[in-house]
Amino acid sequence: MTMIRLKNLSKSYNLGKEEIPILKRISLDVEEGEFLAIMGPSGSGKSTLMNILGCLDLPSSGDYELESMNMLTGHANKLAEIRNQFIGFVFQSFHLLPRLTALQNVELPLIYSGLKKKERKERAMDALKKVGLEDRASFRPPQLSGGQRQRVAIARAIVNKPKFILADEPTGALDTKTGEQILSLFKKLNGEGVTIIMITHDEEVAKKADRIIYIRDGELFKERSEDVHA
Amino acid sequence: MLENIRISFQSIWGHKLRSSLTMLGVIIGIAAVIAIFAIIQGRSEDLKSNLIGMGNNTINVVFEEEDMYGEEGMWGGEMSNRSAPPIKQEAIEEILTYPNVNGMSIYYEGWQEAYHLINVTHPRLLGIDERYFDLFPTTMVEGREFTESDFASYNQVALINEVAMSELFPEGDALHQTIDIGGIPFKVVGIFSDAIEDSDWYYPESTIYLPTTIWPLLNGFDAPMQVAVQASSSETIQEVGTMAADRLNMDLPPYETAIYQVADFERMMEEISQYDQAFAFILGGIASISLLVGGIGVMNIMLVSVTERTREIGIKKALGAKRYVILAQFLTESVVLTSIGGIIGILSGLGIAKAISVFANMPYFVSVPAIIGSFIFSMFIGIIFGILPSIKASKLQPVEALRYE
Ligand SMILES: Nc1ncnc2c1ncn2[C@@H]1O[C@H](COP(=O)(O)OP(=O)(O)OP(=O)(O)O)[C@@H](O)[C@H]1O
Ligand SMILES: [Mg+2]
Repeated sequence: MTMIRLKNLSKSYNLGKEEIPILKRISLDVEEGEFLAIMGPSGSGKSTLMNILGCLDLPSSGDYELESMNMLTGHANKLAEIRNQFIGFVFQSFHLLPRLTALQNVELPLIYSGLKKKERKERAMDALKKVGLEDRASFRPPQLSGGQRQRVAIARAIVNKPKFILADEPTGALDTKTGEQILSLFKKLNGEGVTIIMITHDEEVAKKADRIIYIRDGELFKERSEDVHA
Repeated sequence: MLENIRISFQSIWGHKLRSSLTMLGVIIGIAAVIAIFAIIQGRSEDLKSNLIGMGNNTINVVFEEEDMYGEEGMWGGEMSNRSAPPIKQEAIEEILTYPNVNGMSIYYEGWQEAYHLINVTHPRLLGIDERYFDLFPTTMVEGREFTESDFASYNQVALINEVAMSELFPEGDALHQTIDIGGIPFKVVGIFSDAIEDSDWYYPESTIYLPTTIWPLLNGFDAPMQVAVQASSSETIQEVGTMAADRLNMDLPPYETAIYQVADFERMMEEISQYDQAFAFILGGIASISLLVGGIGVMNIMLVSVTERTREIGIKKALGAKRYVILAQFLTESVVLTSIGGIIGILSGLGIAKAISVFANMPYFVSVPAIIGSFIFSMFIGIIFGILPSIKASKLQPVEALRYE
C-alpha cells in the first residue's frame, strides 16, 4: 500500500532577484513498511527534500500526501501536530537537548501530544529498551557516546509510533562500526513494520535499504547517474 | 507550566552572573519603591496614629479661638493659655448619656518644675479627674491611684511616672516622699509606668498627675481644661467630639470669643493622604524609570537567550512543539527572572528601609499591599519585556532553526 505520494514537488529559493530551483518536479511513492534510501552528492537537495517530507518546510509547488491526506496545510501549529503524530526524525548531529536526560529527551514528543506523566515515562522507557539503552535512561547526552546518542535519538523518533521515520545522514557523524549498529537497529525496526526513509551519500549504508533512489541537481533517478549514462 | 518554571530556574541558574546582572535593574527599581514606600508610609502611619485618639477612639475637645482648625489646619494653630470658665458637672453628666459616648474626662495640663531636695524634673503636669484612667489606662508600679477622698478633701497628693521618679529620686524609694511643685508640697502616693506606647521611637517623658480639685491651688480657678471624650468606635469619634463640643458651648457666656471645638480628623486625614499621593506620584516616576531600564535589560538578555537557543527551539518544533509551547517557555523564563529580581528587590528594599529607620531614627512601616503590588508588578515587567523575545522564538522557522550553528 502506498503510504507517501509526492507529485511534481518543486522547491526554489529566492536569492535577491534570482529564483534558484533546488528541487525540480519530484514525484515519488513510498510503500508502507519500506526501507528507502535517498542518495546524492552534496548540495543536490537531499536535506531540502527531507525537510519537506518532514513538514519542516513547505514546497513551492506540487502535492504531498500521506495515506491520501494532504500534508501541505499552511498553518504552523497544524504542521507541528503532523510532525508530532506521524513523523519520527533522526538527524546527522543527533539534535538531543543536552540538559535533559536520555529519558527526558525521548519523552519530549509525548509531552507535545499531551500525554500524562506516568504514561510518558513508561512509553519512553519502552522506546529506550527497544534501542538497548534502558540502563542509560538517566544519562545526559554529553555523558553518552555518539552511537548511544543516535540510539537515544532513534528511541525519540519511534516513541510516538509515527507513520514513518525520516533519517538525514544518521550515520554521518559515526565511525563505520557504530554506523553499522545503527543501521542494524533500523533494519530491526523495519522488520517490525516501521517505514524508514534514510538520506545518505554512503553507498555501503544505502545498500542496507530495500530500495535506493538517487537525487542529482534536484532531480530524482531510479538508478545511479553513472549507470544512466552507461 | 511547573515544568516550564523548573526549566526556567535551571536556565537562569545556568547563567548566574548574566542573570543577576540582568535582574539588577529590576532589583534596584523594586528596592527603591519598597524602601521609599516603607519610610513614607511609616511617617504617615505614625502621624495618623498620633493624631487620632491614641488608638483608643478618644478625641480631645479644646477651648480655642474660633478658627483654630481653620485654613492653616492643626499645624498652624497656637495653643493659647487663656482662661476659661469652669466646666459644669451637669454638662459632663449629660454628655456621658449621649449615644456612642463611652467615657469622658476633663483635666488640666501644663509644664511646671517639680523638686525633691536638690533634684528637679520638668514634667508634663496633669490635673486629672476620677475618670481619666478610664480613657487613658495606666499601669501602677507601686502605691495606689487617686481615691474619692483625694478629690473630695483636696489632698495634696501626686502620682509620678518612672521617668519623673528617676529624676527626682535617683536613689529610688519615692513612695510617700514629698515633692515640691510651685512651692506647694505634694505627697507621692503612687508610681506608674507608661510603657503602653509601643512605637519604637517613643521616648517617655517625665509626667506627674495631681487631682483636678487641687489644681486651682497652682494655677487659679480659670485655667483652661482639656476635655477628652471617648467614642464607642473609630467611626463615631468625629460625631461624638462635635456633640460634646456643642454641649459645652451651650454653657459659655455670650461675651466669650473662644469656643470648644474638635479637630477635623477627616480633613486632616485627607490632607495626609494628599501628601501621600504626591509622594506616590514621585515614587511612581522614579520606579518607572528604573524599571523601564531594568525591563529593557531583561528584554535584551531574553533576545540573546532566544538566539543562543535557536537550535533547541528548532528541535522542539521538529518534535511537534506548537507556537504557544515555545512562547510559554520563554515568557515563563522572563517572568521567573523578573520575579526573582522582584523578591530580592523587596527584601533589600525592606532591609534598606529598616537600616534608614534605625540610623535616621524614623519609623518605618511594612505595607503588605505594597509588597504584593511590587511582586505582581515585577511579574508584569517580565511579561511586558519578555513578550517580544518570546514571540520571536515562537515564530522561528523550524528549518532555519535546525540549520543554525
Ligand atoms: N535557505 C536557503 N536559501 C538558499 N539556498 C538554500 C537554502 N537552503 C538550502 N539551499 C541550497 O539548496 C541546495 C541543496 O541544499 P541541501 O541542504 O538540500 O543539500 P544536501 O543534498 O542535503 O547536501 P549535503 O549532502 O551537503 O547535506 C544547496 O545548494 C543549498 O545551498
Ligand atoms: Mg544535507
